[in-house]
Amino acid sequence: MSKFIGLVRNEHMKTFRRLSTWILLGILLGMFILIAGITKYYAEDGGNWRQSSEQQVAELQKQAEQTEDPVYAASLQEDMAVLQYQLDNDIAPIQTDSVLGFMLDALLNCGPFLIMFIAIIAGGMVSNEFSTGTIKLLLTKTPSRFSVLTSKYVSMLFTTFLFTVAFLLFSFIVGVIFFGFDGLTASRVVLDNGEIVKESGLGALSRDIGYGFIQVAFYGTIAFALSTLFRNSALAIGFSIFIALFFPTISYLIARYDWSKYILFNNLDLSAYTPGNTPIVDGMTLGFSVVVMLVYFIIITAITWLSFIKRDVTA
Amino acid sequence: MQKQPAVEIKQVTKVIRGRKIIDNINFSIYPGEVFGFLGPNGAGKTTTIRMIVGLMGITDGEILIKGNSIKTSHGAAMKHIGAIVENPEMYKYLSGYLNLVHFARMSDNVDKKRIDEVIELVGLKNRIQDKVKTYSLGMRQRLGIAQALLHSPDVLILDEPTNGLDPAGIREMRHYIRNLAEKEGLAVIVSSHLLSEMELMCDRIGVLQHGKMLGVQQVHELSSEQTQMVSFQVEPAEQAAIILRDMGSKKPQMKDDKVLIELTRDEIPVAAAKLTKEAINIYGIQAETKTLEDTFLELTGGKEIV
Repeated sequence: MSKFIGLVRNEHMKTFRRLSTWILLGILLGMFILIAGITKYYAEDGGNWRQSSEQQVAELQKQAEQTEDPVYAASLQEDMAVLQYQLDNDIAPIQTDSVLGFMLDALLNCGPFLIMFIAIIAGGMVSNEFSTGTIKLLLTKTPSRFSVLTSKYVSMLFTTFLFTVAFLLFSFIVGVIFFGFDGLTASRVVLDNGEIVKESGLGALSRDIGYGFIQVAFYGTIAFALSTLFRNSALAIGFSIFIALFFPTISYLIARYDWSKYILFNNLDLSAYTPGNTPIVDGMTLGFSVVVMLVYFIIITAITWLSFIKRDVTA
Repeated sequence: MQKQPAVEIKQVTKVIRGRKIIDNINFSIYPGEVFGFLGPNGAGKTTTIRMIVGLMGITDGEILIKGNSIKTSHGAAMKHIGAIVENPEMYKYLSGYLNLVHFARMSDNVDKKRIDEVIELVGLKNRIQDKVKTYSLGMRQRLGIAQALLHSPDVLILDEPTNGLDPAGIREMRHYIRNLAEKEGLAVIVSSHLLSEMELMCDRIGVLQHGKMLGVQQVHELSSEQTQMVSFQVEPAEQAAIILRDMGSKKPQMKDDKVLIELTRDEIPVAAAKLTKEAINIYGIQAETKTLEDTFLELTGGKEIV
């Protein structure tokens, strides 16, 4: 067991002694600073949220009367209902230029970058050993191939965790620097299936970051598996990022077919089941997605580990 | 050499996509000897080495490292092996020291003291904290050896150890390998396609061609029954040839002012005494050992030497 911990530490050393890993973290921080700067620059001096909310309701009302599109009108009505509920119950909306608002925005907008960064790291973990030839040293020591691959995977999960923590920490620090610490107690009001739901902003953030971690870790797993199967980092990284970026479009196009709910990539974003969101195919549930993910996970890891253990090393 | 072999290769065959890369080879390597693996490129040297260290599967047969099958007890077998397969590839963005820490964590009972000991042994003390990307090939080669020796193995496997080294580096490496075998009692397996080099480094040489082991040849000790070509630099040569006619199995040959005759080791002083008795001036006697190159050419039929 102590040897296995040693193997994981080795993988960590290899990830974090690389300049590229720190560049990725630097990009993340830079992105947050940029977004915070823009947000601060354009933020209205919202001294009184009641006034602006009332103004918004009035504007929405006017638009709703003018439009002839019933769908659009319905969405306007929903927005108005939320604003009205906040006014009636004296719940201040989460401001974009507050720490919590910034953190929620950062997660929504920069979450996909986290997938990209982890795909870059995971996609190189095994294939880089093959391309540099170091795999020959790695596999001619006492640890079995199974332990070597498993240690790499555990290290990948831990790196994903560290990046997620860094994501939260960076967004919090940048938020505090730009907007000042103003508490994390704000609540958010959303309309879920025509019903008003009030939830704590911090609670929503924790839940979404948790789901985000699962999603990122799964994309990491896919990149890791491709990296092991094809021994080619470009393919592993490219495919994972391509799917992460373009699948939403594909998904939208095939959503009318019921079978599309069995596609793995339709099940990776569990935040689809949080209040205010709807899953891509009707009838999908959180439990369904978890089961689909588990089944794919077992198939992917079985193929990956088996191939790594059995195949000849000719690098 | 009736010791327990360090490495036993028993009827090993390797088939890749229906092609027989290695065809039923058999040999053993003993502690304290340097075994050379010779053959033209593509003969199957690297494939055999990869099978010994478990990088490639064995289609048929068995490889035992100190009695442990590489197939069924990888961990126990690998404990005894230190290897560099082809080039000494290390993590270039890590320092030499961290590379060794990395491999120390993969082995049992390698502490900081042992790491320092090995660094001292390969003479990398001054540069060990530098990143490997700044190392010369010779230094990488040494770091590779340090990595291979870290867990005090009984068998050292070096695939083309002198590849890319300059003459001084080759000498150093040769000296080093001999030392490990003679002083530390390691069984060393080296592979090469360079004959001259192997001759200086190895105790025994196995010649591989087209995946078949053509023969295992002893390099240095020639047994007393074995004949060798001996040249006598004498005057007058014609007379000497007549005197030596009844010695040896074949007739003596004349070449310039020398007489060439095939003799066993024990017959050489006898022949010299005979010549002296007949008042022939002897200026030199030289045993022309059949070089490994001759053997190699004989074995491989003089073709396809790279």
